[in-house]
Amino acid sequence: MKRLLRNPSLLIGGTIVVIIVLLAIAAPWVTTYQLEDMDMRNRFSLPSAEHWLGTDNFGRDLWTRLLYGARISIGVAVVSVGLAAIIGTLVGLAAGYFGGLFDLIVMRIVDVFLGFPPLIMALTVVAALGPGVTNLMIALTAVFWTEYARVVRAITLSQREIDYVAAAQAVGASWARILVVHILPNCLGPITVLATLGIGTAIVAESGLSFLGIGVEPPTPTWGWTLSYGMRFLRADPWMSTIAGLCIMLTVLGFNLFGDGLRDLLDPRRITSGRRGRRGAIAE
Amino acid sequence: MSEPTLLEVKDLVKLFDVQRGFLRRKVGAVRAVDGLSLTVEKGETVALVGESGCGKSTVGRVLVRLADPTGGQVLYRGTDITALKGRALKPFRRRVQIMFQDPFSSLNPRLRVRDIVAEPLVVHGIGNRAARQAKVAELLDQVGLSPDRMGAHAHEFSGGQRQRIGLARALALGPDLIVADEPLSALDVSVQAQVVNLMAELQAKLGLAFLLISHDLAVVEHLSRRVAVMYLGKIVETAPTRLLFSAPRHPYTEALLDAAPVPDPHAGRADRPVIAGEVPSPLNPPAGCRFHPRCPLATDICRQQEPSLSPRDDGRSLACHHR
Repeated sequence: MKRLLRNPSLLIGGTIVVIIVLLAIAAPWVTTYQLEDMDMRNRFSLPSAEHWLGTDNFGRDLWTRLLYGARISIGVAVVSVGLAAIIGTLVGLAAGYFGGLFDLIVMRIVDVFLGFPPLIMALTVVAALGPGVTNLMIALTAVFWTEYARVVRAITLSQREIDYVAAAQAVGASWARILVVHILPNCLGPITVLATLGIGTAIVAESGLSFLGIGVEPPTPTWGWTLSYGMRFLRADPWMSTIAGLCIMLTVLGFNLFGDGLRDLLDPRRITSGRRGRRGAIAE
Repeated sequence: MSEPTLLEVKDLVKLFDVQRGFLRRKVGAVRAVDGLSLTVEKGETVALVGESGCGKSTVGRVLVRLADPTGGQVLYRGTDITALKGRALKPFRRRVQIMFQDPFSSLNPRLRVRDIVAEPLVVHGIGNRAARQAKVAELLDQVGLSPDRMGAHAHEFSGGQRQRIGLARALALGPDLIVADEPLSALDVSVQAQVVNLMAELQAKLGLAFLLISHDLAVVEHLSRRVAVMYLGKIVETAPTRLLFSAPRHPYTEALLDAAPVPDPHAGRADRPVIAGEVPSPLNPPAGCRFHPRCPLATDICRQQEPSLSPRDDGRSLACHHR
């Protein structure tokens, strides 16, 4: 606990993330408006007692829109990063451990994925599958999984040569057991850090795609759409875009700080404490 | 008929391919072990000595099947285990275990001692959790560690204690033979002595055989009954320990013994020339006797014909044209 307090980025980032996630979950209880409630007399209003963050072009309450938008943005980011981490980890473990031709082929596929600019990749996937939340998650997963595959493969390659893996092989442990008991736990720290930082990136990517109009379709409330639609009225009323942008910024900042803090906490050089060691329970 | 030899290695060969380029074309092979023969009888300690890079550790890894041999046979109680794979190898794995050099990398830092020592039991499906727990306590006691500490992680132990944990893990399946790959070289001298004594004690109690891979001649002299001297992937001389140390015959053995420090500052060096030069590359070993470029006795025959390891009257085997 003391170490937690000595790690301000973890603390601040964690606080931001927790507050935003809690607000998103509690959306129906922290606002009195429905998503589609329009208040035509109060279009483009600035923050007031009635509309805490003002309203958009249809007079819809921005506070409400952004709260529900958080569900979409964070949900899409968490699911796609989670999927990417799982796929990438499995691929990386297999490629690193078995090596040979399998490794060669898999890593060339990874290279092909990396060869695409991420935005083009996501555009292609969405164009092929059509817009929508599910397809957006598939697109983001396709962009992100390679990172995990490469990191996990690298860790696996180095772990494979360590004597305790040899000792497990010498007693006849199966490859599955060696991967799960001896190699995977050493990958979890870096994966957690990458995933936390990745969520920030995914939120930006989701907003970017929605901004371009190829992500989540209206009327689903997303931050990217609010940001992009507000652009049309930017000169007359900059508030709508600004607040959506701030929202994205704050969330990404929160996840990034949290990820940085987590990296410091899980740094391999500090694994000497018992806390980390409890991962050993996985052995059973 | 007497029971078959515990472990008999015949003409063992292990090559490592050297590959180049994108297509991984094979451009050569490192002849790490090249026609090595060796026997270990039940309950005895055989030492395998030689300088760095001569292939000692590779022999150990092949014997416990961490690496597949390229050629030759490894007979365990008369059965060739080089042909066995996967599941068929499991019974053999129970009988032959390995102990590693580095006490830090040989124990998974994330596991508790309890889980480390129990791993062989779990893998072989022996006992339930409670029975394994009892067995772990017994093993730790056997290697001189308090069973109270089995909940601790490896990093909470000293190097010597870690090596004991490694030994406990190797003993878990009740092996006949433990391949000990430089088990002492990472420890300081006083701790070395403790581990040496522990190994000797366990050997007497359990009838264990050790294949001791080492470059520390003092330890070898103390622990082993027979010594095999290895040079560039081959054995050049094997003899009972006392005989080898008192009367080495192969010029390389002589040089190796001369190179060992003598704990007496006034004792002069033996009157033989120190061997010159480096170990030739195992990528391209010399023709004929592999030791000829560095040998003071080398003649034409040594450059052309490879001497075979042949038994001599006094109980040793020697591969040299001149001795």
